[in-house]
Amino acid sequence: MADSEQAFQEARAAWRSALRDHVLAPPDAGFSARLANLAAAASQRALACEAAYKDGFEWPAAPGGANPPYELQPGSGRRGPDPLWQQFDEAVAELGRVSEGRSIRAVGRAYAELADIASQLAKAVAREDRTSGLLPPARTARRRSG
Amino acid sequence: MASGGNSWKVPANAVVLDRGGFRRARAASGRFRGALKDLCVICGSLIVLTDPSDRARLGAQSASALANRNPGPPGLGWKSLELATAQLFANLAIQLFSGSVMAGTELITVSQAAEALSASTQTIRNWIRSGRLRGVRVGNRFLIPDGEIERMLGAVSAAIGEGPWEFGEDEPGPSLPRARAAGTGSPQPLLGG
Repeated sequence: MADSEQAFQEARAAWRSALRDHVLAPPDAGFSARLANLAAAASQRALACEAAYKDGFEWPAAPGGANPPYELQPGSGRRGPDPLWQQFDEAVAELGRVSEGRSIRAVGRAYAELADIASQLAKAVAREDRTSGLLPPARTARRRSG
Repeated sequence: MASGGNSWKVPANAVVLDRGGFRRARAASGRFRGALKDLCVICGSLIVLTDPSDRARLGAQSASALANRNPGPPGLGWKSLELATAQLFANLAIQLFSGSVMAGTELITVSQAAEALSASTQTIRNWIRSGRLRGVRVGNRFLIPDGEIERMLGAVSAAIGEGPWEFGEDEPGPSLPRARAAGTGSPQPLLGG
């Protein structure tokens, strides 16, 4: 198995693990952390797709029509700024669309876009949760003296 | 595709209406009475309008004469209507439903589609009812444009991977297919500019 193919499978496993965290998750303070994990996994998939593309692989075209886990869907009471969630929904739609094709670059770009928006959402949700008291205030790093 | 003896080809430039189109044409018939020059034949709820040259050539003939020239879909005989009624529906269809053109389309039966797609006849009917497969209802039967079979076969063979939102833990991942022209990577990175 080529290195890029190995990396692709590892990124797939990380992505599915991040998805499982979202499935049946309660609307708790861990939402922003789950979003951050999803962003990291999407970013890993984007890089893996790019490497696989350079090694001459195609995306294994997939049937369309699937939806993200419930807490990431519209109408589920998602915390965070609406404009960002709109961008997230558009990125989800784009990922679904390109996944039906064979262009692994296009899929990689869609994962990269999703990673970027999920990362912004994770930060925004964490800020909101700190303001509302759901999350403890962020600790400021102390400088070591001496 | 499906050029066997049982398939049936819609005449060139024909317009085919499904049951909904037929009902709407019938419901609206009072509005267009009097402008009837075309000819059509009706089989169950399927209306087939011949192309303009045929209509001109066959204008003096009855709908049943036209029906005799074309045996119609497999297993279904034409049910000719009285000429004036046929003309009424033909004109209405042209005016109301010109978008329903299936010119030159070859129609196959559910059994033929099932064989072509390696599925049961019930599955084919379910796909038509759910909109996954396009078909026209003729009485209590369905007919499927053969292009739909090619489209479905393409869709089935193309989908070898998994959707982006599948999350099962123990499922092995699909192997990555090789692109036809390997090593076409672009120097532009996906992330971070």
